[in-house]
Amino acid sequence: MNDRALREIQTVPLPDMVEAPGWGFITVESALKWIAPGALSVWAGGIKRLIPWLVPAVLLVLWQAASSSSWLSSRILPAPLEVLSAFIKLTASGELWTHVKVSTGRALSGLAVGGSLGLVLGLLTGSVRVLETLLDSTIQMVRNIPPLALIPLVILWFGIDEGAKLFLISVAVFFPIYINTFHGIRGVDAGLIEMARSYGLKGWPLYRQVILPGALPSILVGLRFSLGFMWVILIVAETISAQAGIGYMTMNAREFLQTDIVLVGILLYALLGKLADVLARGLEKAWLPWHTGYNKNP
Amino acid sequence: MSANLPSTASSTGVAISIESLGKRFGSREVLRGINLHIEPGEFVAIVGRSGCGKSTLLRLLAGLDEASEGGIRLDGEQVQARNEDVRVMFQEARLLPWKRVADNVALGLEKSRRGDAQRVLEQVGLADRGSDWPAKLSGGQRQRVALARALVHHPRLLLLDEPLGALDALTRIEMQSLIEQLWREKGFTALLVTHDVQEAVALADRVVLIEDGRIALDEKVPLTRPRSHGDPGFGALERRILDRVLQKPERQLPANEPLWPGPRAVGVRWAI
Repeated sequence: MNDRALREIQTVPLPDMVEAPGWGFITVESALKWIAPGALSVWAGGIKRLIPWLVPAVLLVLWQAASSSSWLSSRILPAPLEVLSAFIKLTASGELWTHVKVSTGRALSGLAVGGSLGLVLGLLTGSVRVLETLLDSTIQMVRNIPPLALIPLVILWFGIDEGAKLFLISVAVFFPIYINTFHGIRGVDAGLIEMARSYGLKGWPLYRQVILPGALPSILVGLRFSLGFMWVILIVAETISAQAGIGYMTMNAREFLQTDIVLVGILLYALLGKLADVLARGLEKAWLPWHTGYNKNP
Repeated sequence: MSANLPSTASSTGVAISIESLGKRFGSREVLRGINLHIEPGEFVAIVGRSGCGKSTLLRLLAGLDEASEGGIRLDGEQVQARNEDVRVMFQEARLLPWKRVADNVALGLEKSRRGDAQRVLEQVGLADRGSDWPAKLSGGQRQRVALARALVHHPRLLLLDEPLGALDALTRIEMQSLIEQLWREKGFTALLVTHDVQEAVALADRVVLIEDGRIALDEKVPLTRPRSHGDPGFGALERRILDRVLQKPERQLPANEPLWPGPRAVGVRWAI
């Protein structure tokens, strides 16, 4: 009789993949097959990788054309080629490198201070109930103050020197890391902890083998949020007052109406932000090799 | 009865003696007046409707919860918070997703005994999956890893908390025979909590029914192993226990006669 059950299960066909309704099923491959059937076999890989850059490239060309035909004044927006030449000039003189170094140094030291504080406090309040009752509601209250609202106070405390910038960035990156660490620790599957305890794990081995790895995805999400805030606050802090840094460079250029340099600065921020995001993704890939959400084929 | 016990039973299994055991969660009484004695190496299945307290009994045996009254003795010793000799297989496999399969099996094992993990993986038929992430395994394979993780510690009492409940029919049958085979080889005492009467009759020496927090039925399974689901005695016993669970009047029929003349519905699985 089990044979019959077996046979029945073997013969019942699995449902085929259901095609998504609407246009969702149009992939890059199917679109290419439709537009240029011959190209698919040879260039598919390369074209697929180039497609995300198509729209930016078209925009750049349109922008350049608008500037060259003096339809767009260089006071408002300089031509892409002017921006490029400003970039090359600044790089050649070494000026750009100094500013980038100063800005990145500020951002990273703020991240180091605020991030490690957030991590440590998040681990503590996440793991120890008493500390949660003691600290968490205070931290949640302070969290609702936008860091930029602190600027007047910060200037009174630290003046307009490096201390003020470090403080602002630290405050901004602290909260995302704190909250995500706290929730990461609390969110670790209680069943896994119970299982590990019943297998004799406790104390540091339990923390290192079960709780920390379980909280790590959430902690890394916090890090990514923090990186985003880090650049925003850095930009504002550097435009207030600075003697060096990308913000100083752009504010200085604005005084002399050097829109091309202003644009170089803005693009640099974009580039550094993207770079930070790529690094965070890299960390996720390296530290969460088991996670299906980050690695398609673990 | 003795034919059902593995030959090595006396050497490795633990004897369980439960005396007037009770458990309350707040004002809710989950278990009361439980008395149960289990021989070393015996395979006992605990059945009952959901919420009857059968899982609570298993958690008390595992030392995961504390009894409100009465006590449990394993080989004459009061159950401690955690016992090296007792291992639990949970309803979900509860594998650590960030550890590879072999590292999951070796959880809580000293470094020098890591070779054992590989050997036990072989016994459950997953010798070549040691370096995979748990996410790549199927549900049945995950439960095999959980079984290996429990067995690597050479438990003298294995507690099974509906470990096959979430598996498909084919995988269940496979896992049942794997558990039975390893139990016969190793001779540990086994306690299976299940809501599937057929599974209980297929595996256990004794089926204990818990109802409203008390033992309502304690029945020996006098069938020889390996048991076939098609055996008339099997069907009759399964039917009788199931009727008792559903609280129908007991049928007075000889055990070796088919229950009804028509085609026997032995392929039907009863889930309560």
